[in-house]
Amino acid sequence: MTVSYPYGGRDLFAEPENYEYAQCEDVSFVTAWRNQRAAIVERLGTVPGRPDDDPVIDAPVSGTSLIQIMSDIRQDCVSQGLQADTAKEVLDSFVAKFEVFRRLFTAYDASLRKTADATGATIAGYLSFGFALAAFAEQGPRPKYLSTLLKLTDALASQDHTSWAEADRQNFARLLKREDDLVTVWESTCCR
Amino acid sequence: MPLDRTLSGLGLLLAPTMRSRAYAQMLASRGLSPDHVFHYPAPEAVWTGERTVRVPLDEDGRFFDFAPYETAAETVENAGWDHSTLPDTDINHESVRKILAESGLSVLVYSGMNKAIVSKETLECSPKLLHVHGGYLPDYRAATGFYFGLLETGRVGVSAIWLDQGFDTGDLVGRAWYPGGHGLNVDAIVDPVARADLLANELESWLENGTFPAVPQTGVAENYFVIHPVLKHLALRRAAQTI
Repeated sequence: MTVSYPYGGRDLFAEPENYEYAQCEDVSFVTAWRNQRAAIVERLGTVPGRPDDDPVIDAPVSGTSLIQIMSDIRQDCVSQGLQADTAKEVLDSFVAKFEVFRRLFTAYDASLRKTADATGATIAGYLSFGFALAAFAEQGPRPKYLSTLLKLTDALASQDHTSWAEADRQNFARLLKREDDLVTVWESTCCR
Repeated sequence: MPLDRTLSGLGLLLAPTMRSRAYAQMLASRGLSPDHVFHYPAPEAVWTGERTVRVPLDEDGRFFDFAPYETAAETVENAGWDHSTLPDTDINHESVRKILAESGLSVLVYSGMNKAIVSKETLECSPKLLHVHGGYLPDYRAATGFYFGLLETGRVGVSAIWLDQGFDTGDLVGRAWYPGGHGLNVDAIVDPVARADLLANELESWLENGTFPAVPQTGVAENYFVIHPVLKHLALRRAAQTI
């Protein structure tokens, strides 16, 4: 019997999942997750070009754009004007925002509060968050960031990708590849 | 039959959870008798698995035979401990606060309802609350921190702390790592029994020394959120490989 991945049946931005008390002991759970991701990558098409192209950084009316903040985090930098000492501190703040509210915004002020004129983050914004999570998860055994990345990609996977810009589709495919590589590393540790 | 050792001035606050069952059974098995036990007025879940589960406590063969079907109330009754039922499931309810404030206890072992947050007002008027957190502190803070520890180490970390207003930030009484359980149910069996064993160890130290430690948490602290099920699966696979 084929088991379907239980977090793929609805729009997870509109109806967030809390992931509590998950029934995931059976090996078929991971197989189902991997099958769901593979089917999405196939639908998204091939991924030419260099990996992780930076999306176009939008200029917000006020504050700093989410994409700029995430781009700087990937360079292990704190965006100019933000009240934080390290890129990790900034990323941890966004991890908490996403884990609690399951949504981000287009721009943030120096205290990392959304600006008054900010709107819901774009797909490109969420993808830039995903690449920042992946970059931190790849720096060592940091499953905290991979856990949030898996939730983010669940939510992005639940969207209608046919309406996305081509660059977003390709970047999502690349992000899913990096997610799979990260999970494979943990599998090699945990499933000897 | 273990010697009866009364924990003068110490009480237990037990919600209808597997953790409370483990606490009551562990203390009873070691002859540790609290001055008083408070129960929450809430229904117990029915355990449909094995009646007794042997849980490894270290790599040297120490174990605990846990009876998950036996409610904490049944264990307390069988042990003959003084007990009563609180008027509300909310520890911050005025009626509960009043009872705790007038209990005469100096320390209350806290095994509360899931997701309950103890308010500043309750902390100020109740006995000192001793809580055993699932996760090795300060490395693994928040509710499923222990799953991340399990994923990274194959072991279950637990920490006894004095509750304060922060999330898992209170001063440490003690902490320890336990075996992953070799495929046992981590949520219902391994984690509750690990917490119960650390609790009993700390209470025995207190009886011996007359004081509880209170060591501020130092080092790198990490806050964790609910673990994604793919990583939870891998954590359980890793735990299944360790005794």
